[in-house]
Amino acid sequence: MKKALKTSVLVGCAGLVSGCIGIEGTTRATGPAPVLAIGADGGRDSGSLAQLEAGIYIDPDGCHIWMIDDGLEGYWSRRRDPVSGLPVCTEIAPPNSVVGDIGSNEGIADRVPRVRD
Amino acid sequence: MNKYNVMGPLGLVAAIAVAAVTLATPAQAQDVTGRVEPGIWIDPDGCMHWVADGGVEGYMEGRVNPVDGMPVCMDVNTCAVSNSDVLFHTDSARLTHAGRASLEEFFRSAGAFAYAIYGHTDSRASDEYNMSLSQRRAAAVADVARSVGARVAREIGYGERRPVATNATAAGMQQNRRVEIVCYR
Repeated sequence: MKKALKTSVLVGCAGLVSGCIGIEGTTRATGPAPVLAIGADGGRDSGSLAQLEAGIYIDPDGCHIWMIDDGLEGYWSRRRDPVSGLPVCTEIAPPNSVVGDIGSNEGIADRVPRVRD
Repeated sequence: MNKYNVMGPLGLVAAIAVAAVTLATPAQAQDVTGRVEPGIWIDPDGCMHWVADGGVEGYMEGRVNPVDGMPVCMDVNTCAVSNSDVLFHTDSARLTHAGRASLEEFFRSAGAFAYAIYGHTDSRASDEYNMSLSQRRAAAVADVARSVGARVAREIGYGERRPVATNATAAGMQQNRRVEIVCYR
């Protein structure tokens, strides 16, 4: 639902000359070295990125990747053992499975690609 | 020279010439086309990741120590650190009675999906000897885990190569003689 809202905001803003902050709290990049990304989400599902909740995606090699759906943004980062630094590849589920809550129901309802059966 | 060089002899000469020029003056910074002010996200294991929201796209990458490439982690998921003096007989991978009992209790109750077991020594004796001793000690702990039905994901001995304290004092050496167990939840 929230993602649908965001789409409508996008369409609504496109026709305006001014007075529109833009989608997701975004604006056009200006200046020679604009800030391209920050440690917080300025959109409808706004908040510090420190609070993101991650699930685990099992990659095709069987190794774990932290996976987060933060509405319009998605994040992947590899899980590594804190002591050895090695990847974590336990068989908690078959490759390509997602385990746990990737946070997709927070802020913006998820939309997924159309996949043939 | 770089063993991954694929430029061929002519390219090599050119590369050396360029290197000589760049060495003569300090390297110039590249033109800055943008800036990122990332936050830090800490995963459930306690390890840090750089994270940045680019408006309608996101970026994330694990934070690493520039010196050794290791992930940078808070002390969240070291499930257990046991001192080797308690677990093992001196200079041996044979578990003490009390050591075995406490490990059995730990692996019965910790409840993780699997465990990583890392053995470490202090810096006395040779590196080779310490690698072997720590590997045998890690294997002994892993055997206890399996004996109570726990899954062992890896068992590695690092010898004296990953100290957590100075080896110049007795207290420091005692801290370095340890078995670390990481819980893969």
